[in-house]
Amino acid sequence: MIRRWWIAGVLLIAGVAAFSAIGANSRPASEQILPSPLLYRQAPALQGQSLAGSGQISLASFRGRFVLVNYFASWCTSCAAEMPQLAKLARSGTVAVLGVDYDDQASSARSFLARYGAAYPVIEDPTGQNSVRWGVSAPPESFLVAPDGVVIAKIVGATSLSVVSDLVQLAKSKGY
Amino acid sequence: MTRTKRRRLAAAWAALFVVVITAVAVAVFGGETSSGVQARVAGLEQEVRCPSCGNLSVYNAKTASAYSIAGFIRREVAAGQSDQEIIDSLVASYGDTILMSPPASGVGLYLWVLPAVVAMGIGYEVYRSLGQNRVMEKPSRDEARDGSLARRRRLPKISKTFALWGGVVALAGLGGLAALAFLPGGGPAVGSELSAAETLASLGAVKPALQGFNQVLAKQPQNPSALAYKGWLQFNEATSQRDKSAALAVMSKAADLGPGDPQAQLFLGLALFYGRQEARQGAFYLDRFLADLPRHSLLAEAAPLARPVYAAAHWKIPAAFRVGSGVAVRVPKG
Repeated sequence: MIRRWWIAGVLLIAGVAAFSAIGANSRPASEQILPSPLLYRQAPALQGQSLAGSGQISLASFRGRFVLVNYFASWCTSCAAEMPQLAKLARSGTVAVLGVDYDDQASSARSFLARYGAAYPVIEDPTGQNSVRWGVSAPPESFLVAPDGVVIAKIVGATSLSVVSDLVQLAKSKGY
Repeated sequence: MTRTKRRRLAAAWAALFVVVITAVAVAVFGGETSSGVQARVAGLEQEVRCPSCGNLSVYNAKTASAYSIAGFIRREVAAGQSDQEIIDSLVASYGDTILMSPPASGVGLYLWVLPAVVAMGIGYEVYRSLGQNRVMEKPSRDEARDGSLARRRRLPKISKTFALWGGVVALAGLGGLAALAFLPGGGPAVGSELSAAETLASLGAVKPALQGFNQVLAKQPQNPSALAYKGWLQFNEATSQRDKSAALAVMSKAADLGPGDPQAQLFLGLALFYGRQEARQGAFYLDRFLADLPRHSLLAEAAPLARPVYAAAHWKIPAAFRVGSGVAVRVPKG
């Protein structure tokens, strides 16, 4: 009887120790950002009303070019940090930039973009339905879409001209 | 009342009865009521995690992403999608982490089974303790007379074994919490920076990736993942033996700091073989990599590089490495 309890006890301690070890060596849940399930798959459909009021815009119309889909909002401070870089990126022609205004007011977003001289197309997403399809947690988040419509990178947080240019160059060298 | 009038009255009552019964039947069986839809939406919102607020469900969170997901759920329910279809759509966009309950597989299965096993053990011990109390406590004449036994029975008696194991579990839990607080990985949040740098590294963007890992290390100098990646990238860029040794030292430190970090073990194992031809030492760290339960995608990328290490060491190639590119993961073109 005592022996049985000893075996049960050792098993219990081993189980709890293994559990503690796994927990201790894992990053906290709030820091765990797993790779996006969208990577290396066809990009989800993305279309909506143009923020500039020029009808509907669709990601499908960018097929054949590298596109940086950038989810942003005028109330987001990190978005303000990356906006000058994105404006430059769009002007450089390295990649087409398609902005998605996330949970925002159209008038605020328009003045926000004008402040940074960002003149690329932007889709309104007032209800956040596009962002859910793309698995966006909080802006800014960007996705690099290859000319064949496959998502090849997800960038969480503010990005820069050099990072996106490097990614595009690499993607090209890998045959995308 | 004439016969005709009575017939008309009976027909009117019959018609009224049919209308009432039909209305009740439609209300009960004919599609979801608005309160049924609300309950379904609320149930789904409780199953789904708010992606930007740690451990809160969409139902309890008040962030923009939570409202977006709640709106998505309402739309999909209205469009006639089933609960499973809605959950599957969200998992396809966000991954399993969007679910409040862990999936019942891998480590998630352990999380499901462990509480049940502990509860069964506690239940058994309580049952046994109570049984022993009943057997042991036969009332003496005096006790029966003055009622002291009745008073004693009101106090639950816990056996020594039960108390001992309770103490062990509590101590192990405290140990786990202490380890979480003091082991490397604590400190300022670096998850998104590390993830971005890993993405760059996986695409081969060495310079920006190194900048990213250096930013992480500025905040957490002992972060094993960042150290391992930094060492691996430096190792691959090294042109002299001196640079390779410096990179190996960084990877060695990472492997020591993160015995449970698969990347740290993998990179050191590969570098020892490909940089110094130390096959056995390399295979030793690759075994540790496998013991850390790496992701399938990482395993698939590592397998072709790991097999020559085992072959050179004359060790049996582990089954996990033999599957090679059989794992259904698409890696970047190259």
